[in-house]
Amino acid sequence: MIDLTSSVGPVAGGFLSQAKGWRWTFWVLCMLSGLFGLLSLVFMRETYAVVILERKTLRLQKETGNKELRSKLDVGLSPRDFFLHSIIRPMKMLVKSPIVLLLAVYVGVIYGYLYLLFTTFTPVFEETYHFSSGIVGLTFLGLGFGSMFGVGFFAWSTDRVFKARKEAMEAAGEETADGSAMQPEARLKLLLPAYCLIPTGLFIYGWTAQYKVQWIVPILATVLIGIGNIAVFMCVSLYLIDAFAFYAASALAANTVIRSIMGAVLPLCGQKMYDTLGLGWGNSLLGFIGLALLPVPWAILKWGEFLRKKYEIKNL
Amino acid sequence: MSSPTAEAIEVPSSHETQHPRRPSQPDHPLSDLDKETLAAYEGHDADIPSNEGYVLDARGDLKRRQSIAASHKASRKSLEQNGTKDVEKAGEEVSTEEDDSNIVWWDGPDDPANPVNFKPVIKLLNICLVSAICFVTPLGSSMFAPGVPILMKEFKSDNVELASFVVSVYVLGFAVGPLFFAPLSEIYGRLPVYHCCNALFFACNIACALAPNLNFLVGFRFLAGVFGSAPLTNGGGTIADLVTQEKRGKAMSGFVMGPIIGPISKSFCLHC
Repeated sequence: MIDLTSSVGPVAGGFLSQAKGWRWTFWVLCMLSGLFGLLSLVFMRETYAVVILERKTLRLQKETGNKELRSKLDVGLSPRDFFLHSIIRPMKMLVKSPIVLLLAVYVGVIYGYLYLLFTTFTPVFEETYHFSSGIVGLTFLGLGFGSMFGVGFFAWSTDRVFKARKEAMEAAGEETADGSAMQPEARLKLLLPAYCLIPTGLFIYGWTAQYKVQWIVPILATVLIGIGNIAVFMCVSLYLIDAFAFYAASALAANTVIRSIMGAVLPLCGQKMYDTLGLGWGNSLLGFIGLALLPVPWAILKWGEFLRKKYEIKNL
Repeated sequence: MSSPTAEAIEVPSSHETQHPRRPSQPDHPLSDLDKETLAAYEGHDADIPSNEGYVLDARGDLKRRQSIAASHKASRKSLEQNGTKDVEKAGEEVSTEEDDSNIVWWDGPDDPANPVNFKPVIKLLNICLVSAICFVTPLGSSMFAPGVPILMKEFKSDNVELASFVVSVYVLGFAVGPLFFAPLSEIYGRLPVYHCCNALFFACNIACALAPNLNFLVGFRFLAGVFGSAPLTNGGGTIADLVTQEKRGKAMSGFVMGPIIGPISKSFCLHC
């Protein structure tokens, strides 16, 4: 999840742009990536056992002349298979499983909101509150603190949940490994209350900024959005991992693709919307759309199991 | 492995037929559930092997056996051509499936080539470097957002869509990158993918810093996003490779939270 650094970046970036110009933010990125890139050239090792063993196998084949040697981790996939797995499978899952599609769009809307806020904080706080371009970077911290708080809570709870799940599995025996021991839907219990924070935060943010209430109030509202955002993302990811165990990565990839596209595209209408509707009604519109999506987590809690069983994903 | 041979499909598989999701390595203590979870953390489905093994569905298993049979056939052919068929080898050819003597694995549990047995310093360095890179690339996503109004003035544009897009286009790269870097890292290893993407990310940022106009900037921001997504895609995998299973729980739950918090959390450094 990139929320956290995304909201820390502008703090440095704001002051840097103010002092040295926007081009310097890229030079700093160059320096950092160059430094770490060089260090990795020197110190990084190959850690993927499948590839290490493949090389060992090739070496041994040459040394012994025994062409039948094969790595224990070799499943006989060609490079073409790997690409098909990675590209076609997520798309297939979007088409075949309504849950994957629904959650991808749902998370996509929230992710789009996040980037809409990222791209509009600068004009909003410069115009409404007359912040300098240095100080305006600090306004991103509200989302950052929110995400951090959300992450902290989840870091604390996840290991617990995993352990509980494993114990439940072991108690119930291997036959129930498909999820009848513990419903993956149980992961979504936190989704509804966490999600409510997002429209709430948007309404407060919009109207307090509209009436130029002291600047800390809209920023505190973005903390709520930050918490809601990370909580929704975490809940959905864990749910997808549980619900599609074997194909979890493809389900997550499908989610990432849709989410990233919406994150890139949704902000395009942000500034126009604020110009037309004003901050109050603009953010309220986002909030109302958010409220309209409120039944999604509820519906998945209720019918998720049915949908999963009906549109079961196998032999992709 | 071009053509499925009858020989391949007829290979008897007593326990496999009852159990489509059989454990791939019966001697291994990991359960299918563990392997599936590990695969998800590494960012690939369970039928693509992780360091700890894989789980196959019926189709994947068929494919694997076809591949074994194909390589077996090819090797027998080459042996016959050379006419150097020694007695020892002849016995092995008959038993196609799962011939232990032909399987390449680690040299014992302490094999230094096994990533799990790397020296702690090396592990720490690798994990820290991956975490550092995972910190830098998302930094690029919004770092220059506060500078956008100045930038728009410099390029004499008042297009509000472009002002937003120049920031958010980076995320579009995150949609595209993983689809290609995940399979590439599974074929060629993580290291080449990291190195190439680091270099290209570096180059794209130079291009952004020197951008002569807005379209150029948007284009290279997109590419920077594409190459910046590689460490985020593979980072979980690197950490999963290096940290042994019993210590993985905390480190992994940290990573699922986000490539950022995971590395920072001290559980990381304590556990490698």
